[in-house]
Amino acid sequence: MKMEVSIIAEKAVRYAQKLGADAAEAYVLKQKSIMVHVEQGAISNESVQEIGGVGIRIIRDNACGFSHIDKLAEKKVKQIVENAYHIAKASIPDPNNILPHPKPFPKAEGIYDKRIVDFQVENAVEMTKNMLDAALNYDQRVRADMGGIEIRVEEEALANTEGVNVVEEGTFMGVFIWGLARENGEVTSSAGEEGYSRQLDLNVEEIGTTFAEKAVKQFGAKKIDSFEGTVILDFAPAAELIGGTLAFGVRSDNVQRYASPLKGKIGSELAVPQLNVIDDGLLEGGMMTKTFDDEGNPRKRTSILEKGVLKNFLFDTYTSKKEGTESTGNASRRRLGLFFVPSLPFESPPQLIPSNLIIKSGDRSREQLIEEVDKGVLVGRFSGNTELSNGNFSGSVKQGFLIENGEIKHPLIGTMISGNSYELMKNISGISREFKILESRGIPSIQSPIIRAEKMKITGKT
Amino acid sequence: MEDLQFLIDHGLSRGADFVEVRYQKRSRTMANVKKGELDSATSGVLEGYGIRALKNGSWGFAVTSLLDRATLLHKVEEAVRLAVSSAPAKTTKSELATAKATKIKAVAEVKDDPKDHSLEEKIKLVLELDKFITEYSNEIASTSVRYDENLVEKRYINSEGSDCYLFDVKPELFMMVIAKKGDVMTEVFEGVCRTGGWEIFKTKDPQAMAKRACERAVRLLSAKVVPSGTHVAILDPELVGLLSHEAIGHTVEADLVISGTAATGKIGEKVASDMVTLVDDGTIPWCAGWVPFDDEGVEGKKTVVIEKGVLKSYLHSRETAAKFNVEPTGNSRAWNYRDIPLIRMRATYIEAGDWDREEIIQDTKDGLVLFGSGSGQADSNAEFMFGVQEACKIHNGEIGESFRGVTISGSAYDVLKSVDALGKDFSLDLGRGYCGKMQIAKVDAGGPTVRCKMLFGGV
Repeated sequence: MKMEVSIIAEKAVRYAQKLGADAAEAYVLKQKSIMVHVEQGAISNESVQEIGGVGIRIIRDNACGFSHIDKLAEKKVKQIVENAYHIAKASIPDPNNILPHPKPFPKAEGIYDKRIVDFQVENAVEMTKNMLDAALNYDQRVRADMGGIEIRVEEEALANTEGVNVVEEGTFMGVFIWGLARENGEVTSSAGEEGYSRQLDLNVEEIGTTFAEKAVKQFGAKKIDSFEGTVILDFAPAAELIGGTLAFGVRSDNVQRYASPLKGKIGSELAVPQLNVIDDGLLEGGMMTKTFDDEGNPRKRTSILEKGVLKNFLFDTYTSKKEGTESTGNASRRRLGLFFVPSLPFESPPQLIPSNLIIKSGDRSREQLIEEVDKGVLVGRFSGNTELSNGNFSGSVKQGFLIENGEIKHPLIGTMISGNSYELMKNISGISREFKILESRGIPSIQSPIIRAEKMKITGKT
Repeated sequence: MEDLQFLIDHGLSRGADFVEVRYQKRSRTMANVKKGELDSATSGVLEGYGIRALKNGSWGFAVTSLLDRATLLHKVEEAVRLAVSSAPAKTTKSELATAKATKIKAVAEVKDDPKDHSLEEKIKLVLELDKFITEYSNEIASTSVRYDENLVEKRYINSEGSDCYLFDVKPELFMMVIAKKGDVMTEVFEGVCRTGGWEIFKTKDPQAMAKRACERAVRLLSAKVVPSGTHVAILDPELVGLLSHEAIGHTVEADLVISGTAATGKIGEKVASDMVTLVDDGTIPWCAGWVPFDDEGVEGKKTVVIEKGVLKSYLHSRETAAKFNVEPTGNSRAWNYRDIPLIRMRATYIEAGDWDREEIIQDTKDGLVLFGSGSGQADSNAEFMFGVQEACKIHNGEIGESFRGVTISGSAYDVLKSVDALGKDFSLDLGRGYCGKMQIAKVDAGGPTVRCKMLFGGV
């Protein structure tokens, strides 16, 4: 039996053809989500949301228009098909505006869990309470400012005039907890912990405890003198400073627009041979794993860095047409993360971004990475800016610690690090076996290990 | 206006102690050009209802994008049912500060309606700016220019008799310039967003913005990196806005205050230099932070957060106001109908002082004068960081060499205590971009030229 989303998509495409579109695409999403929010150490709100919406792309005389609405009713959908058609008429022609033809689709594993479909709001409330209790019972000085759980079931359909007609069901789960510890007027730097899965398998108690542990370890933070030395980037800062910079750099749209510093660098040694990075749209149970990308090309695996050498850029239909190559299946309508986001996928035309970006794990344990350091800083969180066009970054060390003679000495305050992500990749001296799946700025799904680098500039008191 | 009272009555008849219904329709038009290519031209509508019910101190929230009567009645029931069923898991009871019923009708003052400007014209605007930037110099490597127009219609009613209506119009223009020379690349941003119509582009000329961005991006190509360490800093109004918002503003949001921030328990205490009066204001009709009433129907007020250096008030929702036993300040905001209101800022600024900007510069022996903001973040312990586009050295009152790639950091209240000069100049001009805290929100921020001390970390 055909799913409702699929029928809506087909009808919309047919209507666009009737209006005179040269090519048209309809993306239809129906989702049910359960959200539980934590505020100030207690469950504050929960909601069940059922939302459906449609995004239409139309190409007419090589010019493209897009329109969306949060309704599925036929009359409303027809209206936005008309809107998209009018926008295309007002738009600027570009011969690279084309839609993909149908291709064989791979199989995507681990993206649907019936237990998530059957999950009820009461279960979500209980789960949130367990996470919160685990955090607050760990240490009475812990305060949870914010947190929550989102459980989501999605049905997506994509149809276009070239014959693409695909549909997929997926389940998602995301949790986070964010807060601090407080005692006798001392407030620690904010700590957070998060977890994402396509299955109902997250250990929320562990997430709560890890958050609490991070928060209380920050009591007694001290300033240090400036020095040049070793920096160990925990999962999140490694994801941001290496993954985030590379993700921008290997996007072919940025390369074609001269915004990426990687133009002309395929085959160049960008990093130490220990660094391997791939974009894996088919990662089993990956947060961005699907059989098709958001314009109907098959998801793929693309090697980005192999033994430190730049292998490939990421392409969508538009940029691959321009380049005369194949799409790597990296069109996505999710740009701002996957949970508690301000916009839903049907609200945006597809954009080129990584699917599941994976920085491959190394051969060291977290402990080894620390033990081998003479003098350095462990960065738990990075609060700063990166200029993606050149890789320069500078910002505050959060959840940081001083390491001396292989031991963690004390937490840090008033410490900054600065450098360049591309130089950092050449100064990597260790990669952990452990890894974590995270959302990072501009990347909805990234798997990252802990990464140690040398010759970093650390600014403290002066 | 449509009669929605039946929804309130239905909720009360199902046993709710309090019911509120928010209707919102957001229509958004965008045109995005990147280096000569129209990346996207889009329009869209998000329209629906968010309904909250309170029963024995427990909230329930239901959402729908369907507008028919039967669905709405069903959603009211769902909100009440959720409030009742989740009550046992809630360790703290929600209470609302008493607020008088508000009846407000607010319509944005628009002189030149964006609707009277065709989509073709909007696309032409961004394409021409992109062309101007690209042709400015052969050192311009890449560009991005975006037009983003938000029209929002809102209705708020509750079981206490509040009934408010808003029609809001906010056009926005944003541009990014990337310049390149050898291995050096620089990034500069400019933009404008205000409440109003097409006339906002007359108060801040797009081409002048583009020119300024290009000049700076090219100039910084040959600039050195700023020396790390603590320096005397002279901040422009845009950076003062970012400091007020990121470094101070977030620490006085009452929801965060309850968990514990650097401002917790400090009402009545001296937290800044005597010169500093810091305000969060929803009443300024032309700025991007105009919030005539919030998403709990509370009238937008001018809230004095710090008065002559003394902490006076936090920013409240009705719920936190009840906990602190004060009046709500009108800061409870939601982005879309499907979002639950959260405490957010509006227009946050430091009030002007009595120095001429030139006088502040001339009076500075050694320091840096800073221009243009990047993005910023703040921590619960009041440690903040944000990016600055350009820093120029001052020596004996004379502006000298330019530096690039600057990030400033510090403990917000230490920085405010170090303020020793405030300019007469004043502007609110941080309407571009968004503040993110679970949801996005349009805010504004600004102030006069400010001199203080800060930690610099160059690249």
